[in-house]
Amino acid sequence: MKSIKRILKELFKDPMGRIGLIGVVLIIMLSVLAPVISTHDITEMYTQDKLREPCGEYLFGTDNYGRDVFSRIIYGARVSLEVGIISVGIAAIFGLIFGVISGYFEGWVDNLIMRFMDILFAFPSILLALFIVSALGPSIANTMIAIGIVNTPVFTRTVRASVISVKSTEYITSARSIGLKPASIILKHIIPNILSPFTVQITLALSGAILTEASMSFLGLGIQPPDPSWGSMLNESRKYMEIAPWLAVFPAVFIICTILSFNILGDSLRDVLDPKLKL
Amino acid sequence: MENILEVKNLGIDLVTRDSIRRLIDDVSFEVGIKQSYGIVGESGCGKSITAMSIMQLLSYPLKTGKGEIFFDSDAGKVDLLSMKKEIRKIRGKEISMIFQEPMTALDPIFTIEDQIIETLEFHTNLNKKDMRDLALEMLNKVGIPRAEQLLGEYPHQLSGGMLQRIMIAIALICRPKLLIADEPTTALDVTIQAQILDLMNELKESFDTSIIMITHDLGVIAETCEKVAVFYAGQIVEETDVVRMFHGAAHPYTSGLLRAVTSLGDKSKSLYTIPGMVPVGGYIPKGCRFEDRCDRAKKICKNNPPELLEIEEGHKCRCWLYNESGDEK
Amino acid sequence: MWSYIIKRLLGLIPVLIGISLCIFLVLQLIPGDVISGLLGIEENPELRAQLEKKFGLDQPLYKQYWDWISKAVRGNFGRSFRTDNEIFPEIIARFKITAQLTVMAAVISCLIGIPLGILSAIKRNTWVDGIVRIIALLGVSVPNFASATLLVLFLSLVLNYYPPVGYVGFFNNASVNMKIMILPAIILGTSMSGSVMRMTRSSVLEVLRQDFIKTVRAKGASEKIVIFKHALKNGLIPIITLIGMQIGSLLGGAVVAEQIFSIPGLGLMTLTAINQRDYPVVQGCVLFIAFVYVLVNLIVDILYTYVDPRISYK
Repeated sequence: MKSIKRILKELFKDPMGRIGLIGVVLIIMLSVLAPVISTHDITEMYTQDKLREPCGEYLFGTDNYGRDVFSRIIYGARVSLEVGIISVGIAAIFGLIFGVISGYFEGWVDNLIMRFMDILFAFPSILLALFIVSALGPSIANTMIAIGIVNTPVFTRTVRASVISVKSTEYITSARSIGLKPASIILKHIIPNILSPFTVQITLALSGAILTEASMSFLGLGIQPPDPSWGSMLNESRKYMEIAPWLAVFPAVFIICTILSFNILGDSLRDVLDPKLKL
Repeated sequence: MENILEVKNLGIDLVTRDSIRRLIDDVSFEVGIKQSYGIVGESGCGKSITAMSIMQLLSYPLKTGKGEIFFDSDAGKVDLLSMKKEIRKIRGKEISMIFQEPMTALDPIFTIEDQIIETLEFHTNLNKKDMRDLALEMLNKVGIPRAEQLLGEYPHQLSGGMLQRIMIAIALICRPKLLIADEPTTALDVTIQAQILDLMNELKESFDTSIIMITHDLGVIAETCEKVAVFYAGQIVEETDVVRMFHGAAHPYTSGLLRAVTSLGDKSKSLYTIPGMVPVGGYIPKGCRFEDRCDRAKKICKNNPPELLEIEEGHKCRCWLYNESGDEK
Repeated sequence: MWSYIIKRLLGLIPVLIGISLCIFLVLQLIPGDVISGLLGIEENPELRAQLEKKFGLDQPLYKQYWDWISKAVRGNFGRSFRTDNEIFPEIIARFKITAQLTVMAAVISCLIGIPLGILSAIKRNTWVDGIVRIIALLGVSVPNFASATLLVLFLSLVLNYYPPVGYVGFFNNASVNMKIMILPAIILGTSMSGSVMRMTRSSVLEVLRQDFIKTVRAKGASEKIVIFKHALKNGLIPIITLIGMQIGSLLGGAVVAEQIFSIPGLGLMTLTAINQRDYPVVQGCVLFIAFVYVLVNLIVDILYTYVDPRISYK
């Protein structure tokens, strides 16, 4: 894989890459600096200011409890990112372990792991996540676990496919022929060579995970109140749509922009890391 | 027009977002009626893209940058390069082409019958049955056994030699005046190569077709061609009839090529190779393009590009050795 | 061909057993027992024992599983905790609604995605291509619930249009049914079309780079023939795979759209059951959806043979 500096440089050369990178950095900054940027406490209900239109005091207005929408959206970014990163982290780690074992050793282990992944793949992803959460009980941690499980098969397949293609190359054959142990072949030679598709997969899975969390929260089975989530904010807004459209518009815009940024970044990253796929 | 094809000052460019690079520079040649014209050169010398440009088959990022290609069509003399959509009426009907890789030159998901008949659909009003009969007749002519059965098969079920015969059948089915063969035997086994070349020679006689044979193989030239152009780094460096090329090559590059082949049969000598490499990566030398590999290079060759001059009747050469004005300098 | 299909169907059996085991075991993870949920605060040992017996919860796990699965293969998914209705007929009734929605969405996504994808490939690297790619990116990125909410907002605030409330079956009143279904179908269809566009573009471009396209052009083909007869048909496999996967996931995963537009489909049924902790229904719905999903993928695999003669299943 190319050095990080070079990747960033190439990303910046591509206008789309620039947009994606800037978008993602902005969202990360929002969530890191949430306590500084937010103007109000996110759970404080200003009962005299219910359903206020956006104004100087409440930049994005207030909701039906009189809570400041702007601050809730800023903290919502934090929740989205947290869920996204941790759930993709879970999926990536398990995917890496399963994929490497499956691809490197093949045989019955491979069969067992891949059949299990087939089973996980046999459910529409949102349904599987809802199903897992319904069994574990809705909470932020269980949401992360559910999304992590849903994403594991994709990582396993990606990693397995790259391991198999790397394994058949001549330098691995020669590493084996000089008697290197599987563990050191995997760590020193195979892992570094599958990093490119792995990284691309992570960026794309992040947008998917954020989307799944928002959908689950929208359905009331993700992040639970009073924690702010863009999905649940959007769901609650529907009752007041006609009198307070800002309640729907702001969370929608933030979700769309976030997912868009990650997708754009993922696409450009793929072009940079895997130029073969570029058309 | 006494020639079937006249290429005049052809230039082909590689056009990218921020640069234009000329790959083919000022190529001119004529192909006579019923003549077999050979174009020979190393890979990367531009012989294939020259062939592609005749039917406007170049695709992005390649483009013809200048020149004219006159063709003696049914409708009289036309400039192929300035034609727009009308060129489709020429393609496959008056000029046909066969390609290097028969395994990938046919669409994998259509039957052989579909693909032979397709050409007829574009250019004739025959009904399905007549088309099929014609296809069968062509398959017999190109020496394919069990033609009837083969019509319903797909390309992946057939061998390379078989597919190249089918390509020839497709190319000749509308009885074109000119057949362009781009390395038609390169991807085939040696025994099959000879069969395909024999077949082409035979069909050329019975169909009265002119042929442009593009190859890197001097053996193919010897077997099929009457006149030859030698390409080097995007230019013609020598053009003459085939006998004179093998027995009196003028250009040092041509002699080098010949020595590389003839030394093969002679075990007492080691294999001759021309030293150095074809100029690549857009670098074009200021003087003669062959200068740094040439064992007879003179001072003048370094900085002054030689021109393609007629050194005797029907024999052109691009070399300062045969240019009197060069002797003075 | 038939032997291939039968072989594949037999191959589904272990996958389905695995799926059903997973579903069964995941539901065992539920904290607290199900009956307490049903009984509410009132703790009545007699009623508890009676209910446990009724739902077979007094049996050991393996027996519970066997009981469930052996009935399920015969189309008996048991009865709902809440309503005491038979689950299977309900699933079938709801599935028909979801299937209609899915087909409409798939048609919309193909009608938008394939032509725009082709256009984008032909006009590669021009402004047309740029616009199509941005549309595709939006389609891939905008979540259904966000676009649906914004669409409803736009229709009501700007156009003063409100879709009819309350679901009506297609055979009862087709025009009202279409009015209800068209909005969710548009939402799902446009968001699916994004990936269809991308896939069409890249696979058409991929085919256009291949050698045989030169042969077709050299025969005198028009661009129309090159694109629609050769490039599209050759590029169809990845497109079919994608659409198949999308159809499969919509048949159970259209939860969000069904919720927003109050379409009583299979997704909404599952969601309601989850919210009501009606586990036999959840179990049945999830098993059915997984079965349909696997079946759709099998059908896609079989479709390949019709498109690509190189894939033979003997």
